[in-house]
Amino acid sequence: MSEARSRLAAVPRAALVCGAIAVVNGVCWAAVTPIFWVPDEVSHVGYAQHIAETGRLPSDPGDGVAERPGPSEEQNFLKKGLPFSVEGRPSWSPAQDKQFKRALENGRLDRSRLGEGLAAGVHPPLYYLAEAVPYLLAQERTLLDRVMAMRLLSALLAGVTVFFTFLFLRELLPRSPWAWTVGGLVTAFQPMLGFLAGGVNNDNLSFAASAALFYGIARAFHRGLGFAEGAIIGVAVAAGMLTKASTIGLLPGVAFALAALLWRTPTAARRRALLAGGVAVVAAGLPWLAWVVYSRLTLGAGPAPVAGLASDSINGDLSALREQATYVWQAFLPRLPFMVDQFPYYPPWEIYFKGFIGRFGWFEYGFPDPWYRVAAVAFVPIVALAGLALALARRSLEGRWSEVLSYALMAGSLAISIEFVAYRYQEVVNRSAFFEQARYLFPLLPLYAALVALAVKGAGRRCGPAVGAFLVVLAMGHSLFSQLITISRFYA
Amino acid sequence: MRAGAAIAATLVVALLVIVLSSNDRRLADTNARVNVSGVALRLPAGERRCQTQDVPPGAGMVRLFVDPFAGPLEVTIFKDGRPVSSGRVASASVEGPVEISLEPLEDEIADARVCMANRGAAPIALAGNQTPVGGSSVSPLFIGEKLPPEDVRADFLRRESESWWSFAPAVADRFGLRKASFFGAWTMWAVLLVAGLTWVAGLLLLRREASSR
Repeated sequence: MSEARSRLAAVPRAALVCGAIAVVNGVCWAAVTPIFWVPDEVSHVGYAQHIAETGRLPSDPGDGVAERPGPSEEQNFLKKGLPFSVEGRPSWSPAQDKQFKRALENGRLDRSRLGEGLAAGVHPPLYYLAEAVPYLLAQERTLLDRVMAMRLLSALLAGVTVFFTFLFLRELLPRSPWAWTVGGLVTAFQPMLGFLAGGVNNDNLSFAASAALFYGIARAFHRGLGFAEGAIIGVAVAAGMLTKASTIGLLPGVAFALAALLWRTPTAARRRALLAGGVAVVAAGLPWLAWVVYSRLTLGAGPAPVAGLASDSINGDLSALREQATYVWQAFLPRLPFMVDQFPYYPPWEIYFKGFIGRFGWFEYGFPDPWYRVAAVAFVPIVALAGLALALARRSLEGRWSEVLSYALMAGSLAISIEFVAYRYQEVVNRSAFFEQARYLFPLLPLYAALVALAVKGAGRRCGPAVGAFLVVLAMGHSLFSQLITISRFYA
Repeated sequence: MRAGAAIAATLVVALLVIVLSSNDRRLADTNARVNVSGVALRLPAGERRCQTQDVPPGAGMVRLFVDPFAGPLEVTIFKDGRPVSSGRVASASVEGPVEISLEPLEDEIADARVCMANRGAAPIALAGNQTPVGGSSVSPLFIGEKLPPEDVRADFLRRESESWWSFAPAVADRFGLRKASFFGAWTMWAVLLVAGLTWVAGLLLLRREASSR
């Protein structure tokens, strides 16, 4: 008991404060953003509602079923009655609002049909099982209240993301406590993280799991691979895999990290490290395996459609493979002369950078274009200072190449896996729709925090605090303006 | 540390004041379900087209989206069959919004008849209110149900040009609509206050960490 208490006391208070700020920020976003205006929220709510109301996981009816079930009557009623949407009648009339809420309260509307949740049914169930709890706690209230309760859980998960991001920075830069706080706060005020935390979306748990994973790996590189580290890595991978199959994109980096950790462990301690690695593999693999078996036996659907799309894409057709490779290349790098043009725009700028700075709602509103250019200019000194920090620390980096390579592999393989799936999505599902979104890279938020922390470190002991404070206040302003444009988009 | 925070805070506050002080005519209500309409509704010369629409209190102008035309185009609002407000515009030289001043209306008119009359010699194309560009009005939500008719998109604007400061109470009123049961006009102010408190908490944390370096 006393050991647990002392361990709890060892948790930096700043990490808790940063996490708490992210939670409160997420709650603010939950209040600001109208219901169903976070991407795919209607589907995610449908999935959790189905679990909460029926106690069953959704299963795709498959090709044999001619008619898919529609949205639950309650969800349908809410969707149609909401203003600000393509389907809903916009109205700021308080009288109509009262009428609408009364009808929602009094209506005996079906809640059990999966409907829109079917679209989210491709995801593993962990997030939705968790979301069923706040849903059930507010079960007697209207769906508007229940969605709000579910959004609070997402806000809490943003706090977990920032908390683990802080701890990751502590392991990464152990001699720069000031940089941990700056990195934690800048992440806590990141507007797209806040916006997503204000909605029902499984990305929120995926971000939290990924931040814990980065922390576990950094801790293992810093302190050695022990049982605690193995357990953190394994549980984080399991949580991520049971939340969103795209977590698979992080695994090459994780596997490399574990191998490197074992390799560099002195022979005397290798047996313990091997056991710890086993803990990681078992903790990560068993829950996933259980889910695969369960879903195959009971739901009849593959558990990882993202992986399915990826494997489907490697079908032995060399010309298709070449197209795919050029697509992935052009998603991040300038097109080479022999390549067919795959994008009508430059994805790193249009999708990833603008999406990171802020594309809200269903990606249909954001900052005026010049603001993105200003943001890009603001990033130049941050990257330069971070580069300077790395250059100054090159001697100590020599002993940490395997750690750096692990993070690079995690980032690279996640990005590439997303683009592989994006290519197949366009080929197989919908050629006119775009798949890529900046939020798919948000599992890498700890690396963004690391960039900021390195910039503070690069500014030196004298200027570091001023640069850090400048960046934090700038991030606060960024968050505030993001909320203001959301308010102006929907209520002005 | 203080210098960095002060410089950034000055930048943010200055920008905030500039943005929130900008004057413009603000939206009172709209029947638009899309950002940009993909449908043009033709109004032949000499004809009138009417639709049922709530007219908000304080509306002083109506904004329509049109192709260029040599009008005039007239808008009249009817309550219980009687005209209560009207306005007209002579022509539009470019594609886009035209704003037509109305005789000011004090109270909300629920289910008003809003009529547009083409008094010119050529047809006028007016943007619809519910079909997006490249989209279909047949939403899956309405399968098996009677589709709502495509109306002319009519945005009602408030009477005076206002800054965000003076418009904020109206925004706060709207903020609480169609949300959790305990939400109301107070919620927006509470959110801004709480967001401000997170700033204070962040700055206090920074100060604490700086002093313990």
